[in-house]
Amino acid sequence: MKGRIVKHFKKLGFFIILLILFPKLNYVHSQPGWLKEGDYAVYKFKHAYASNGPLVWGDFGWKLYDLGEGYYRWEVLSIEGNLATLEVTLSTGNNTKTVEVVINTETMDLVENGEVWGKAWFWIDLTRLPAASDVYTVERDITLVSSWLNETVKNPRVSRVFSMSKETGSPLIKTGMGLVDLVVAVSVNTNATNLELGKIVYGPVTGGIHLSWVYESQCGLLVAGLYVDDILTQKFGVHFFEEMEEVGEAVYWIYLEDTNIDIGISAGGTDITVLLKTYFPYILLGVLVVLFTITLVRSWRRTLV
Amino acid sequence: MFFTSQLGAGIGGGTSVSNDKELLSIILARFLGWMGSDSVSGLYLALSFFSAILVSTSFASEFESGILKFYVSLPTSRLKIFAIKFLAEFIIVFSIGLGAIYYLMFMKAPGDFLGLLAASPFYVLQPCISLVLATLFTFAVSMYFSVNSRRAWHASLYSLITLYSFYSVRQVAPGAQWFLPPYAFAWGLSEMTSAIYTTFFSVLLICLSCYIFIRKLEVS
Repeated sequence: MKGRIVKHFKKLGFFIILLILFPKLNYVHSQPGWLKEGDYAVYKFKHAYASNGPLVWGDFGWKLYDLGEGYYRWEVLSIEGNLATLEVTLSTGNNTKTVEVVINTETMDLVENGEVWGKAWFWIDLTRLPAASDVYTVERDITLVSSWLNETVKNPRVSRVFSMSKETGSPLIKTGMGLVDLVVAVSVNTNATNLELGKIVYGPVTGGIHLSWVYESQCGLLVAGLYVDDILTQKFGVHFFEEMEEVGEAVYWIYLEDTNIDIGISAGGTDITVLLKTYFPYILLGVLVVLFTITLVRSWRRTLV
Repeated sequence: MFFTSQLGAGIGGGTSVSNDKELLSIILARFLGWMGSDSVSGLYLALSFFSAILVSTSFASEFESGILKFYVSLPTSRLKIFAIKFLAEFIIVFSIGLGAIYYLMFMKAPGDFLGLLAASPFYVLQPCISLVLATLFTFAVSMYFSVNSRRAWHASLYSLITLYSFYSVRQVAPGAQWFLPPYAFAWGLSEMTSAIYTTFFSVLLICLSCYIFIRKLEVS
């Protein structure tokens, strides 16, 4: 009898271990190990606003000037241990500037001569995310940007992986390669409330300008959002972008235009499930119109016998 | 719309009560909160089921059995027959729904409920508006299929599928649920414009059903 029970539990044990591990397995497929030499990502933006020299607090807040439309690109040149050398390019109009930076692939620290000078969150380690639960987000004790308008932006709220279409009902995230549904969101409130962009005054924003951006769920690659990092602020002097979105879309400063990394593109006309979910109300109304019409036409003239 | 609008930030702040009217409003808001999304959708499902069964039994089933032929042969206008059938069933379903709402309110907080009733029946009657509109919608859909279907079970099936498909929106496209039944009727949870155009659709369907019943139904 005892032997049979033990044997039974041995069988069950396998499934119990699977059940325990299953929530974690959902995230293990996105180890930072995917990063290799030659990987790149290009982000598009509409208008970049930069500081001309030292930042000055003006009558209406920080004074910035317009660099115009362009792209922000990074490419991995080499990897040694946890340190990767990236070639980062900012192109605006006719002006293109490229710098080489060394980044710690785990902590995302930007390192120069052995000293950390900032942060750049081009990707996140999905294995360190909170497990899926009713608690949607947790506050992470990490620094996002060391120097943004003379402010250190830190302690963001980080969500678990969630579906834009299923869990929020929001439109999918647009990229140059298709739509992204499963994402991780990062958000933080800053102390900056006013910006003066040439003749445009931005703000005042109650509670500070809210930075937020999202990563896709397969690799944890930055996809889109109100994103800024220390390479932008300290190497290129860029602190702000013009918001760009179409009606019904999320607000973007930048969005992923191109990459050679295999990210979690879930729609773009190929994923029928996501398409069905996205356009479900319209499909439903269409089907109902057809049903109502057929019913009406079939019995337009009935006879009581 | 920010990406992180769904991050679930907590709602802070307190409420200070300055007068009785404000207190009554708060109690009413609490009641409406209890009758929140789950209650609204649950009630809608029940209304859908009863409407589909009752209306198809009343119209389509009587088409099949021939009783309707007897009714229309009486010296009574078809409009009256339609109106009487509609009102009789509407009142039954509406009364059951209202009973369910008041039962929920009373069981949750008997003291508050009686206090509201004593202060002003107007407060207690507010959920009636949502219920009237929801019942009207489920009745309109059921009525349309009942008048147009040759079999009673066809009418019930089409009605249930149609009404349930609106209910299923919340699972597939949560963002759109506030613009469609059942949440379109839950004022405070959704925009009032949703209730207006859904009610307009309900009235249109009932008018169409009435027109078909009066003008297009031939007796041989």
